[in-house]
Order: sequence, then structure tokens, then C-alpha cells
Amino acid sequence: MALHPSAFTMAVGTISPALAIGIIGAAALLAMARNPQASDKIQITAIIAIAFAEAIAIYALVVALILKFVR
Amino acid sequence: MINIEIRPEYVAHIKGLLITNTFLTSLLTTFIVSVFAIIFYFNRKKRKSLLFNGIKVLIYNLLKLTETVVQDKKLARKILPLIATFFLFIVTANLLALFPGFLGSFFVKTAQGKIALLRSPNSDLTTTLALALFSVISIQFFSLRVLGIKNYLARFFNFANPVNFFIGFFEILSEATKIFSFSFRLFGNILSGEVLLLIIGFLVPYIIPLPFMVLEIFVGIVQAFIFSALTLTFIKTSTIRHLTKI
Repeated sequence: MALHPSAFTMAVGTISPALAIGIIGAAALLAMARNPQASDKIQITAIIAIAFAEAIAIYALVVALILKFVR
Repeated sequence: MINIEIRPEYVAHIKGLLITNTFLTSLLTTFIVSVFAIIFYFNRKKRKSLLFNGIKVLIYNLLKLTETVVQDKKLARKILPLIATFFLFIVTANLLALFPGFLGSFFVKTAQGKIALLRSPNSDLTTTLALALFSVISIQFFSLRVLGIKNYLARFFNFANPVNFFIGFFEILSEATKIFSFSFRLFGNILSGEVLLLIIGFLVPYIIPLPFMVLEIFVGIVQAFIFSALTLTFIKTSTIRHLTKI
């Protein structure tokens, strides 16, 4: 009851992506503060890196959905 | 209760071909994008129209994004149709699925029970897998075209020393995981949005789904942008020429 498999998958699987997105965002802000001219390139690179990190959370979500809805 | 299906749902059986409900929506999406393109082509000299100037601004911004990432104006013009098509198709497919009439309004009676007639195309792993395969094959094509066949093969099969051999092997592995990652990212985002909207609509149908629909609009646009920007980035990194030969 407490360790329902799909809930547990999501709970553990989103710890690292959340940390990763926070670190990427902080690094992007520091870089933009240091060098405001390269703001455009830093923004595009940061969005792409955040997409990679978020994909890991989406994999966990897909596994949780499969565990719940496919018998 | 709610019927959430991850497998594709077949609504028609035409001469041995099974047709899914997501296929019908992708036909509708293609039709809408083509109609817009044809109308734009015949009216492209109009000056003060909001719609046509808006389309011009959109394509111009995509061209600027392509040039910023690739940094080569000739290659950017060659890549732009592919990137813009990915972006426009995925954006239209994601935003179209939020209109009334999709997933839960029109039903078809088949042998497996009542199935919705229209559904968002990217909530089906077949569509996203097809898009991902197309994207990875285009990356290989552009890499082959810019590098030439000898340098292209030297990216993967490099027998100079054992370290390079392993790097080449991991390049092949990384191309395969690109297919997996592209398809599952888009599939997971759109399917989870659909499941969320279904469950919220089941719990509190009035007013509460609104913030979630705004979230879905945002996620749809961002995922389309990410798909095309990632394809662009991979094309850029696969066409780098290594200048020094060690």
C-alpha cells in the first residue's frame, strides 16, 4: 500500500532530473550575468540541456503509466 | 470508468490495413498545414495582413535560430525546410488535440468496445517513433553530405588506436539512443498531458481543467521547439570536421 510500484517509480525517478534542471538553470544564469552579449546562445543551449534532463523524468513517467494501465 | 490506453486503438479495417484514430488526426493535421501553406503562397505579396506577416515572422525566426546554431548560411538554408516542417507539424498536432471533439466526444463502436474517433497524433508511440526515425536518418544524410563518405565512416569505424575504436562504437550506440530518446520524450509529454486532462475532467469538469489546458498548450509548443532544436543541434555536431589528423 505504501510502496505502490508506479507511485514509487515516479517518486524516485524525478529526484535527479529536478536537481539537474536546477543546476543547469543556475549555471545558465551565472553565464549570462558574466557575459550578457552571448545571452542568445546561452539561452538556446540551456533550453536544449534542460530538454535532455527532462527526458529522463519522462522515461520514469512512461514506466509508471505502463505499470498502472497495462495488465 | 476512464479508459486510458497506451496501445494504439484501431477504428477501421480497410482491405487488410488497420487504421488508428491517431492516424486520422495526423491526416487532418497535414491537411490543415498544407491549406495554410497554399493560401500563404498565393497571397504572399499582401502587405498588411496579420496572418501572412505572422507566418513570415515565424519562418524568419526559425531561420535565425538555424543560423545561430549552425553558423553557416548555406547549410542553414538547406536545413531550414526540415526543421520548420518538424516544428509546424508537431505544433499543429499538439494544439489541434486541445480543441473540442478530440478524445471523448465522437465514438466508434468496434469489437473492443467504444473507441474515440480522433486522438492527438503524438500520444501514440507509432507517430513519434516515425518522426524520430525520420529525424535520425536526416542527421545521417546531412552528415554524409557535408563530410563525404570517407570521413563519415571514419566517425564510427576508427582503427587508429583502441581508444578511437571505442569512441566510434559509442557513436553508433549514441545514434541508436537518439531514436529512443526523441520518440519517448515527445510521447511521454503528450500522453501524460492527455491522461492528466482526462483525470481532471473526470474529477472536476467545470473551470478546474483550465489551468491544465494552459499547461498543455505551453508543453505542446515547447516540445515542438525542442524536437526541432535538438535535430538542429545533432546535425551541427555531426557535421563538424576534425581539422587536425593525429
